[in-house]
Amino acid sequence: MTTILRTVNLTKRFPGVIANEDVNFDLQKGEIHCLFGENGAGKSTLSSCLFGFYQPEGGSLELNGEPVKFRSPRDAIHAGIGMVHQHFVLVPDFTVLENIVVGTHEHGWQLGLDEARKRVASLCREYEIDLEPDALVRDLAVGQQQWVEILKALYLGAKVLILDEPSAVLTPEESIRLFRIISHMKELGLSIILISHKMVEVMQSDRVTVLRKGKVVGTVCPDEVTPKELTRMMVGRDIELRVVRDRSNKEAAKEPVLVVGGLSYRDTRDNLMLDQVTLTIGRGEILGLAGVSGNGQKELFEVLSGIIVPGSGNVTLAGERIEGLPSRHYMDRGVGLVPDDRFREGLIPEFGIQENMILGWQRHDDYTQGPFLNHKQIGTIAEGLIDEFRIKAPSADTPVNHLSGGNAQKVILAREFVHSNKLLLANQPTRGLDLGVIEYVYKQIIAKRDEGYAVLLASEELEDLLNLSDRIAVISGGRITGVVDPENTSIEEIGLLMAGERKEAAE
Amino acid sequence: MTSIERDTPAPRPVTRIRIEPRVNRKPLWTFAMYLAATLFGLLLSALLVWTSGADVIKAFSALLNGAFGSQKAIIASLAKATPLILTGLATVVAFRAQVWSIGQEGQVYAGAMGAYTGYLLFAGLPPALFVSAIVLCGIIGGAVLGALAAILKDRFDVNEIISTVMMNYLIVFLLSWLIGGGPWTEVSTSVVYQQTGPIGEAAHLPALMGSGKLHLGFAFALVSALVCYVVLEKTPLGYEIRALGYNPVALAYRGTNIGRTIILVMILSGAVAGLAGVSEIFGTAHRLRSDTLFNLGYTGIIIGMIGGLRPLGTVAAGIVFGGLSSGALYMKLLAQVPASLVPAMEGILMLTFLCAGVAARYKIVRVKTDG
Amino acid sequence: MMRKRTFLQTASALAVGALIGTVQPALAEAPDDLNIAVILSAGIESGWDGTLIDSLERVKNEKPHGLDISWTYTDPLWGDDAGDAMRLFADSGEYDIIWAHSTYSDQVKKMKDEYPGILFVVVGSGNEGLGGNQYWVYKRVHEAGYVLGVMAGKLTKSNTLGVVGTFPADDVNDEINAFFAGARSVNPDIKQKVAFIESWYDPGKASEMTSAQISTGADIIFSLAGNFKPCEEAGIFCFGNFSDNHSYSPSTVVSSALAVWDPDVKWIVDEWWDHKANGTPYGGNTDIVWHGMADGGSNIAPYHALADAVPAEVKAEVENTVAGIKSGALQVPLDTSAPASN
Repeated sequence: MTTILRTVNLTKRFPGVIANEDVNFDLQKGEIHCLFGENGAGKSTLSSCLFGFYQPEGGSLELNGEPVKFRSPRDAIHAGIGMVHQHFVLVPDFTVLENIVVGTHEHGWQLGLDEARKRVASLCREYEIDLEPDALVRDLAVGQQQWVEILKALYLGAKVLILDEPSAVLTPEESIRLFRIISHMKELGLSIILISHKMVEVMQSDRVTVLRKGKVVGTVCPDEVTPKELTRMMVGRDIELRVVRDRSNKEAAKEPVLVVGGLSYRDTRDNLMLDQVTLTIGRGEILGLAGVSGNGQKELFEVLSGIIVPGSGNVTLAGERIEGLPSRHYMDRGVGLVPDDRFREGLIPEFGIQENMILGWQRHDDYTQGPFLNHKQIGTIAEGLIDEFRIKAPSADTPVNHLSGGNAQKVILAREFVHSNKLLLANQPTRGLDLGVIEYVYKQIIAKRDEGYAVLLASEELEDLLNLSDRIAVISGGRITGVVDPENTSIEEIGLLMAGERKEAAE
Repeated sequence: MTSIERDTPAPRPVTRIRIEPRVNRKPLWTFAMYLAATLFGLLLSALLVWTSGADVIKAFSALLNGAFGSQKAIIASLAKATPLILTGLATVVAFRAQVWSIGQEGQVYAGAMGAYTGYLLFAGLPPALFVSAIVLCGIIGGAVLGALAAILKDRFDVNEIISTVMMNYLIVFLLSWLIGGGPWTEVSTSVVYQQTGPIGEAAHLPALMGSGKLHLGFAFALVSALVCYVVLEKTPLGYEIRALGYNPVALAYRGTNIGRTIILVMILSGAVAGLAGVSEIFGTAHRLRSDTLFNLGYTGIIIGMIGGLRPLGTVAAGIVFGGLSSGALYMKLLAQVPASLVPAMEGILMLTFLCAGVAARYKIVRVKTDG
Repeated sequence: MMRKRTFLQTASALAVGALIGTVQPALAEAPDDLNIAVILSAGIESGWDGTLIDSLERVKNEKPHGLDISWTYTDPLWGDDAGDAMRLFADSGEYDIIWAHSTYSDQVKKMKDEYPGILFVVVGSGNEGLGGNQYWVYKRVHEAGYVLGVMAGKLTKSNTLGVVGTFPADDVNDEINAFFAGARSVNPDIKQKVAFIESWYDPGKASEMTSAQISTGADIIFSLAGNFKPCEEAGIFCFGNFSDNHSYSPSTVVSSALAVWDPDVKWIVDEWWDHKANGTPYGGNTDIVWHGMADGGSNIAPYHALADAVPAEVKAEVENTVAGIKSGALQVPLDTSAPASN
């Protein structure tokens, strides 16, 4: 085996932070090398240095044994390095082919589509990627869009592929297909750097480099270590893997808090996003919601919190019909919402923690004094919550866009927990968070369940749903394709339901 | 040609320049930036005056004298600043909510016209009550026009920039009709052109500090600034306005009615702009004519921006530009600086001020890399 | 262009005056110079403002009362700015007369009592007759308009005449009505077209209205708004207003109605002199005062290059009319009602 890419004592600092310190990392030709670590461990910084986004302050970078310096991603692409980002950079209204060719400037001002079509076709054949070059990107499934990104990198001559959390947006099925393609690429001599924090994927790679606080903890082969050992390397201590099974009081769950019947919703482009959704969540019960993102979860959460009005169907909360009422009424009746896009939907990023703690409740008597906001009172309450939820921040005034994802999420949890009392809607509450924080978030949700909340919990992590939920509803194409008992189901069964196969006699 | 240096034996330090936001903004630094902006702007203006052939020293001493050189000059400057502060505040309220209203111009007219309606309707009331009724009508005039744009946006999704600009035109045409042959035209044997008759003294805004120039309108401007500050920073509505500006999605997600908030923003913005119209007509011109109100709203947008979209900053910016326009006359008359240079100088100062705003918020850092 | 006396000049003049005064005490009270500050309304290039400066120049050369007359003028100023400028002039103590050359009585009203020694002049329609130290100069050029009407009535072939006016103001209407009255006096079949641009200066709109009138059949245009391009394009004759507009369009402007301010300036200078030298209190007029053609207050411009285009018979008729007006034999009717097309 030959070393294709190597860093020697690579160091990258940001004001006040060392993001990478003396990182020694090497990539062999034809291997899948996983970068594993918590958020903020330095994975992204390292890959950005490899791709020319950042210029390291110390150490050196070697390509095929020769020192190189990338001043920009252009240099890196020139040297045969390609990167597929977590968020795709595609033009939805362009075809696959146009997206691949755009920005390559191979033919000066002309696009040179004919020649490109031949090359893309041969790449698809070579790597066994099934894509229609003339399809519009917006018509493709998320998984296929990712292939467009990969193809684009290959088209530009990549011999090294950096994949940043590639499976975050995929169904289990798509994920499996992706890994099949990656393995095939490896056999054909490509080298792959895989950034991930999913244990399943880590275990499929050839080698793993674990990063913690910007430093390399070690590089190991997955077959020589257990997942538990890897986790310890990553976190620096033992951690309970997720949450132990802990079921709710089945009796209480019979008392329905939320009853949803025949809910349908069409978006502004007239796509049917929710199709006859029927659900019940009982007191002290967690209903898991499984599904590939974009299958109606978001719309369901928005309907259940009054943000959008369903076309038909009914929503009954504690015996009261409330469909069609504005979100204010849902909040006033004790519905809390943890939205999936926390900085866009859950927080005012420029506002301080304490101002975010009252978002939606700024007119509540607790926070006002006559016509004015009672800043003193708000500050006191916010400081209490900061302590209670162990939010790490210099002060209650710190703008939340200066907080880490985990601390920002805790601000939302604190606010929604304090201001609700019946129903908690949590859409992807742990996405992108560190293991330690994930554990904390789940413990808090369980605590609320034990207080008698009805909880709707959507997550991409099937393991988590299986561990936490009393029942799991699976959504696909806006329909509930089945409701399963986590005790008597398998990932495979849920996978099939997620792919749209209906379970007979659901519920 | 590849830019990768494959055979560089030793890494060579490279200095790069990057722009980063300042985390902790020091008031002193901000002040220094604005001071530098003033000096640089004046320097550029001096060059401009010099190229026009006028005596630079004479020109600037005339400018300064005219702006703040005597008690009388200061009073004149404050009087000039009055409508600018008000339209600036109208801009602050709207822009802080990221409602891009360009309607201040029309709202000034609407305010003046509302007040004039009040003047006609309530003639005969006791003086204090009469003036209050007039002011109130003016506020309502501006607020109604503002609300109209907001309702169009809320109900029919009409972009506020387009609707407000269109209404600016409409209201000016309406006034032109009213005073150019319509019912408000001055009734007199000798005149039939674009103005109403003189406004009776009972309806004049009372003078402040015993001077004829400075009137109650200036007090309105200061009170409005205070009100805007308190509303924005200390009330739930202000919270919603600021949140609307930063992230309307999250605000709507958590139960605040965005449409209603936009309407309130435009009512407040329109009311303040309307006050500028009242103040100009009933405090200074004492006769409703179109040219007295011209451009106050558009200038207010600039004043609000220079004031950093903050009420107190807007008061300062308004006073500086009020002084500038007051001193400009001295410069024109005493130093024979061509009239057209004055707006050019104002433009230069505006640009340097806006640059100072950026400089106060961001910093340029030199980054040494040796990768 | 601008003239302004410095304090030094004033001081030396005073010093000289003091010296002379010791020798000839009787003359000490009589001033020997007069400074006028002029607030312009449209700019020196406009007929309204430019003709005033021309008149000041002529009166200066006549040295009325032996006075050494000088003046300074501003860029166009309106409203509060004009008020500020007047105050600036008044406070400098250097000016005896502030001549605000349009509708400025609102501003004068606010300050005239603070400066009782200064003579304020406001001009034209839209002013308020305040009396005291405010004098109200009025300009009627309707007699010249009548003469041009006579000419137009003779020259027209389509019997349709057009007038493009500024505002339908009193001192605009009089001129337009007189123009058509003059035309009808020689040609009863005249049809009239009238349009107002609702501005004191808007060449674009003036051009638009002129073109519209030409297209409805007018073959002579009396333009008070001063854009002769459409006349050139249509190859028809035009008349200008206030100043001699011939140079703007030598191929179309046959003549113009001229505003001549000499009698007005002399009147004001006399009033001021009477106040200064004889101590007579200012007695500003509260009703309008105007000087007609007989007093030299208005006239018509010469034909210049187009002299040959006007038939001798028409020229004679015009001369007759002018002579009649000057002698008082012909009374041009004063009609200030708003004119309309027919």
